[in-house]
This record gives sequence, C-alpha cells and structure tokens, in this order.
Amino acid sequence: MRQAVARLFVDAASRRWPADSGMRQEWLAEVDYLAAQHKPGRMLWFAFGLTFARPGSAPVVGFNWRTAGTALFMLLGPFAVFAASALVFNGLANVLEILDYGVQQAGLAAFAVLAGAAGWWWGRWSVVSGPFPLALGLGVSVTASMLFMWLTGGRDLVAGYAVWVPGLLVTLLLVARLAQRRRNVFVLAIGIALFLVILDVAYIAEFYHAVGDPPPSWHAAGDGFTGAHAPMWFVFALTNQSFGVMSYYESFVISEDAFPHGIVLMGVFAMAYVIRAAGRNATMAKPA
Amino acid sequence: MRLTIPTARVLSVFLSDVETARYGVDLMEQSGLGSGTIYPILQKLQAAGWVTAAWEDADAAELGRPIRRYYLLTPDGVEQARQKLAELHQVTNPAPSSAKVVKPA
Repeated sequence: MRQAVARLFVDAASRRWPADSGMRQEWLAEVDYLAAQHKPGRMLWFAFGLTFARPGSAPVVGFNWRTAGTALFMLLGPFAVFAASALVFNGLANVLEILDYGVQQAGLAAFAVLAGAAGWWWGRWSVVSGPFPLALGLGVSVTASMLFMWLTGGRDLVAGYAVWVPGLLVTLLLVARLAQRRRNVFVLAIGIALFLVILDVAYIAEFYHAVGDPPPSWHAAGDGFTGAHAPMWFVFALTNQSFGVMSYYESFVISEDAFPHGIVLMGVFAMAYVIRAAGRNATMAKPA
Repeated sequence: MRLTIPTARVLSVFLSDVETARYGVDLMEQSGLGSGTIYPILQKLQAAGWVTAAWEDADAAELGRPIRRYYLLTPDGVEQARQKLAELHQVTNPAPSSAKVVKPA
C-alpha cells in the first residue's frame, strides 16, 4: 500500500520532466530499493519530495514580467493576432477600395507566418510547459475569442463549435506531447494539418443540414447543397476556390455565412506557442 | 554555473571520492538534502558537463531489483568543482585580520 502511494507520487512528479528523461524509471528504482531495505518512511519521504522537484532549467512562476507575459499571451495572444490582421486588412481595404483576391491570400499567408512566429517566440518564454495546462489555456483562449467575435456580430461557425473546440483541445494536447519527443517544425506541420482537417469536419457539421434543400426561389436556378461536396466547403471558405466542384448556391451561402481565417490564424498561433513551450522543456538537459 | 549551498553540498559528496559513482538516494543520505532538491541539481550539473549519468550495467533479474542510474563527476567537473568550492571557502572564511591586537596591560 505504501509502495503504491510512493509510486503515485513518482508518477505525478515525473510528468513535469521530459518524457524521455528516464526520471520515472530512476525514481521507481530508488523506491523499490528503499522498499526492499524496509525503510517505508524514507521511501515515502523520497517520493513525496520529488513532487517539489522542478526540472533544472524550468522557469520560475512568480510575480515577474515573464509570468505576466505568459498570462497575457496565453489568454490574449490569439485574439491579438486576429485583431491585428483584421486592422491591417481593413486598412488595406480602405486604401485600395477593393482588395484583389491575390492580395487577400498573400496577406493571410503572411499573417499565418507572423502568427506562428509570435506564438513560437512567446512559447519560448512561457513559464508553463506542461502539455495539459498549455492545451487547456490556449484552447480556452481561442474558443473565448471566437465566442466574443460571434457575440459581437461576427460571422462564425455555430454548429461547428461542437467539432472544432474539442478537436482543437485534443490537437493541442497531442502536439504538446509530440513536441516533447520530436522535432518541433515537423510537429507544427502535423498540428496545423490536423487542425485544418478538424475545421473541414466542422464546416460539414455546420452546413450539412442544408443538403437536399432546394435553393430559395429568389436565387438563380441551380443545385443546392450536395453531400458529396461537403469536404470542399471549408476549402472554399478558406481559399475562395471551389475547383469547379461546388454549386453557385453553396459558394454563395458559405462565403456569406462563414469566415474561417480568424480561427486559422489563432490556431496557428496556439499551435506554435504550445509546441515551443512544451518542446523547450524537452530540450533541457536529459540524463543519459 | 551559479554555486548555491545545496549544489556545494552535492559537489562535496562527489569530491569526497571522485572515483565513486553515486545514485540519488546515496547523494541524499550523504548530503542531507531532499529528493526534490537533489535531482534538479544533478540535472543542472549534467547540463554544465560536470556530471555524467549512466544506467547500471547489470541485469535487473540477477540483481533482484530495478537497475539504477549512477552519477559521476567528469574530469572537467572535478576541476571546476574543486575551484568553485575553494572560491566559496575563501569567501565564507576570510583571512584573519593582519591588524595588531592590542593586549590589555
């Protein structure tokens, strides 16, 4: 029983260290040794003490700029990235009157890179490095930002929330864990690709109810929503390209009702932040 | 590397016999420090290249217990640790004053 309690302490403590650091195995070996020596008190004290052991290079949480920066960029970073892109696009639209489609796409790509760079930079200085708190913090932040935009009149997914919110949380948790073991850039590419697939499913959830309904009478004749086109709905919303697949009515409704660029930018920021913060912990010295 | 008092205590244990590899509980017992202090110090010492770690080269089944990880000072670590501890000793034990002591008549 006492050994089981000691093992629980070890398990809890080892989660704060890089997964491949071997600390759990080392500590369990010491617990077994102390148990075999019939030193239950020392065994429990040893295991309990580990719960206070922080990896040597882990930043300290406290009343300092680094902790404040972490809180600020975890909670407001995604929204700030979106707000900055919206301001620039609105400014450009005011100057150029009509934004060329190529300019829009280039701007989105540029902001995606900037969002990733911002997340990467702030993730490096994050005082939070555990996969679960990182995934939860950034996931809640992105969700709150999207809800705020929806409540203040922005066009947004509604039914799709049930898909992309849990999908984003799971993806962030997954990439944070992967970042502890693999190269960060590879994990970032995997994370973004997975998130785009989740958004594609979210769009299907959002618009699938319209499949089979004929277009309204005021609309030009043509096909309505078709189930076979469903995987292209998100692609069209993001790129404005249907590649000749979608009907005019589908294109019209999706471009009017859904605007995925904000969530994509925020997702890129969150992904980069989480991967860098979790990966930084893993790049600290690993015992042989 | 910043030398704290707990780090100095760990280094002192290592320097007491530089040929002997130490495991975590051994270092705890010899230094009087807790497990929560020992392992972050060992990690910092490894990052600085002062200490190496290696798993016990034995079969767990033969030993009748899981294999342990042992820590040993590197040659550079021995030199650096001696120098740092000497500096610490100098700071904490200043040379006696050369001023003349006035003895009562």
